[in-house]
Amino acid sequence: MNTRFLLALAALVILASACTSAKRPAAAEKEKNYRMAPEFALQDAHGQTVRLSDFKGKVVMVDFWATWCGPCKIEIPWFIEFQRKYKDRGFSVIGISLDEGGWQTVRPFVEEAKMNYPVLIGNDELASKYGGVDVLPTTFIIDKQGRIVATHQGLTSKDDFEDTIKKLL
Amino acid sequence: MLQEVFCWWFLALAAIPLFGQGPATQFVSAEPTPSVTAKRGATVEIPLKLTIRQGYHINSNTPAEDYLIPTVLSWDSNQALTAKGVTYPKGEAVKYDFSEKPLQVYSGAITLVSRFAVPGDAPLGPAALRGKFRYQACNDKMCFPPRTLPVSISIAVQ
Repeated sequence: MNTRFLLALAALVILASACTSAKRPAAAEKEKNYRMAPEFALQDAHGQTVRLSDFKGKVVMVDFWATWCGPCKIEIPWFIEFQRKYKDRGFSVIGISLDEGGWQTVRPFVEEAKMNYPVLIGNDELASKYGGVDVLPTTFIIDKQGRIVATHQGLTSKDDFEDTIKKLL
Repeated sequence: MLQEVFCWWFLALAAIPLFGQGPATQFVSAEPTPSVTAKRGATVEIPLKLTIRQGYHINSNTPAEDYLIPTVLSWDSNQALTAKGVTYPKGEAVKYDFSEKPLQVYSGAITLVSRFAVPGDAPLGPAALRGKFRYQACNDKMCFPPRTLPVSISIAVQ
């Protein structure tokens, strides 16, 4: 990285900080600005159509992942645990695979990992609706009102996920 | 409110030259390959030097696990050149938390050597060939969908 790039970056950081300060008085309005999670209808491994609206009134964690994504494999056992622990309290994980190979690739993985939550095959259209998912894993946490209250890109700590889930339940 | 909107608008504009690479950011760049001279009927080997962005890795051509997407360089063929194969460098064995065994990955600078046959009736003079370098990049926290980097070589047929 050259000096000019670093200076430009530093200027942007300062400006971003100023923008954040400008936003501070409006922090109380933050909750009103949550985006509604886009609806989807995708088929599961058994050919059943699963819609996000099927989970209305629940806290939902939508996890975009792929079988070739190493960090995703670290999170999946946590999600299996969350599903087991919080399912009866109105919580569900939905895994959306972005594997190009479809069920032929995903089904064996789901079975081997013993994934206990709905797993669906996503597509570019859905990824685009969710803001253009270009990093895996990307996880959206949706509250009981259907609003996206947290977005995590990349490997996130288990505690961060669990704290948010508990807060929302 | 107006101040905030203006502030973020200005920030977004200012950031474009730094980060404005579109949604399909590449994690690998190719060095321009010098033009090669070859005779009709000959076989030529042309190295392609690639640099993987610091902090990232891509799978080798033979990753240790079936589920990983291998790096593949493919070439079109034309009247002047016929692709005959690619020699990939050996991957570096790296152990990650998510894998039981070390994976074979590339990071930093790598060189792939492609072999081409020049047909006996190849048109004389300059010719170019296009190829595709397909890879899938990750760092230790996240992965990115497979990308294709367009590459090209030029040759002078004598």
